[in-house]
Amino acid sequence: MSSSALSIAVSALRAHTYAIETTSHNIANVSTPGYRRQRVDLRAAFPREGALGPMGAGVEAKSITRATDRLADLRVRGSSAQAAYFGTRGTIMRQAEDIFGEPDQGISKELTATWAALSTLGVQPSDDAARYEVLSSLQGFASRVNQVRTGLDQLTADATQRLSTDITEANAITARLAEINRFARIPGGLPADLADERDRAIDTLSASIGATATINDDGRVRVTLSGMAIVDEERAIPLSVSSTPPGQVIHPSGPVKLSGTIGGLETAINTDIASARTQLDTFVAGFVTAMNTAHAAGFTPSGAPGGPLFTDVGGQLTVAVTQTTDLAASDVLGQAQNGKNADALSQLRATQGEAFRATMTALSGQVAGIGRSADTAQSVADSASAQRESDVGVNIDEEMTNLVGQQRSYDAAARLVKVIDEMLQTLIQM
Amino acid sequence: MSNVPRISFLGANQGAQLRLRQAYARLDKANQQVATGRAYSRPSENASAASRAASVQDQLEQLNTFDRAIDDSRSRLAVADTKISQAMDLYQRANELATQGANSINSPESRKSIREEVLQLRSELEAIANTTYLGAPIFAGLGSGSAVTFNAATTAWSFNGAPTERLSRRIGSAEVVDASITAGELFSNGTGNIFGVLDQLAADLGADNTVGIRSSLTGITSLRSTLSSGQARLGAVLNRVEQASSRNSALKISFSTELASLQDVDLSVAITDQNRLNVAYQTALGVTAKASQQTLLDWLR
Repeated sequence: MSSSALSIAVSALRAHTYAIETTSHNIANVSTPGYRRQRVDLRAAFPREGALGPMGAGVEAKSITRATDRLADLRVRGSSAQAAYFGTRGTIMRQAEDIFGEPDQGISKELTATWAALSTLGVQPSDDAARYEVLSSLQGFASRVNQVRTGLDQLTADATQRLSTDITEANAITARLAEINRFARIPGGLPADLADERDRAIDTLSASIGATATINDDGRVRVTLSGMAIVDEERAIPLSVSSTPPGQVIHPSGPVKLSGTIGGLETAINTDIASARTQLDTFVAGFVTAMNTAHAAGFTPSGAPGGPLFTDVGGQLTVAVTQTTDLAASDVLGQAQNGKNADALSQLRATQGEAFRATMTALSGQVAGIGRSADTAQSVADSASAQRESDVGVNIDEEMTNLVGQQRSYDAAARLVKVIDEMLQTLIQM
Repeated sequence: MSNVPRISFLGANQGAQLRLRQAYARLDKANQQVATGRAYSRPSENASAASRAASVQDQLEQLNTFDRAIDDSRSRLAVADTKISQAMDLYQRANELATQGANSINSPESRKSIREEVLQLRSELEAIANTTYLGAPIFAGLGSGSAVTFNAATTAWSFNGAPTERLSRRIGSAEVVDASITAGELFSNGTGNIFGVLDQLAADLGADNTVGIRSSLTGITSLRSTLSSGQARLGAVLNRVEQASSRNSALKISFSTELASLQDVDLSVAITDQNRLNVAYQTALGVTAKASQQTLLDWLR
């Protein structure tokens, strides 16, 4: 009788010690990012056969359970991939907007100076200072355009550089996940803290490339991208970045569609910056044609027809007119005081100015749109993350209450040992 | 019990940080608005306003270029008008001299002295016709040569610049005026030109040809009305220029007002907002500091 009561008391002491240890572990990790609170699962021990039939045999600590919420994980990963995707694009496009520098230091300012100089030349066609002003405003315009182009090229190069760094990091994470999968084979399954690391790695990978992860019953994770595995059982399949065309991520089995930071970089390089650049180039091409055509209709002081004002070759806009006397201000041969052609050039302000403003409005509208998507996605991601953290993280009050309960249970079990001891004493002294 | 949401230590921490960050971002935006006076600092913050502002700014800049053309036209026309008035006085004097010369009581000697004065008048008129403005002849159309030249071989006067050659000045977005007149238009008409008429008058005075002198009177009168109508035309142009100038000034004010309403922040609103957001941020800081230090540990002793 007494020996089985004693073993029941001991099982209680042992089980509650486990519970207190786990509570301590929870409290210790209260600030650890990605830590999921753990609980000891207690259950009544298998009954033993007694004189009265099956009798209770105490308590046993069956296992340690991690608080998990698969649905919350899915929400967090999906939303963080979106937030990182739009956030990255937004950051890059804001930089592109800074490169354009509108309205205070941008191309529009140089355009305005050009129109002003041309209309002054229209009023004072024989004034060399007015001619010089036109030349220098044309130079200013060309160099600003070239600066913007160089800036956009540099932005693309930086993003491409970052893309390959990020891909290397993502490959390191998939390799680590494959390694963690190997631990799922050890008896007793994947340890809770390793499962935490696995989940954190999946979170990072989702924000980085927008991968989809499925966790099997045995605790092993399978990560896919557009249906193609990048972590398959104990094997990781590395991604790479193509050099031609630059800035595209490739999977050994074919093209992949990405989200997350890397997807954002990819879209920024191949779509966003590229389209800003194309729009600028289209405007510049139209501007150069219009200006050159209008200039060709006039005559220089020496009587020659106006040559091209600009050449735009290989992404480099150059002012083709070098001498003030090469400017064709007159629209009739040999009229020194005729500034009608300069005036006609300055009248391109209406169409070309509007074309440039349309280009800039399209760009800033695009930046604003991406920014709004980024804000929305970020707030969804923040709320999903806070929600999950609250569901599965550690609450100190809760742990303290548990600790008080566990302490009392331990006290009671200890008390039980004492009672049994007294009973045995009584028996011995008989 | 299950309706009360569970809050973890880290979750509460993250939430507090997020709220503080948001409050600070709003305060920072308000600070920026007050400091710069601009409603937005980059076009993408308000794409439509930025686009409209760029367009209004461009129109304002264009008005400045019209101002330059207006100033140029105004001084050009003023110079031309003064010169034409001087020429008008000389015509008047020529008329008087021709009338005196035609009078039979004058002796050949006095006709000679009248002749000298007529030749003097002609030279003065030639100088007036060849007046330059900013280094270029003002009555020579669009060319750079002298407005009036005398050809000694043919003994004829010729004018530089066809009557259609006029300096055009853009004084409004769709308004171009002719800010010049050629010497040919001012000093000649179907019957001849003033220089030829004065030459003939001088010759007739020298030859005591009173019939010829009398006929030159008709020429001077007809040429005077040509000069007068030329002056009237320039006066009408000056009127248009003045109207355009006052119209442009009014447009400038309305464009500037619109630009300010598009770009500038209403300072009283911005400062009130800034104060409100500052208080909100301070409160958030205080609440966070108070709330995060409370746990059950404080009570279990």
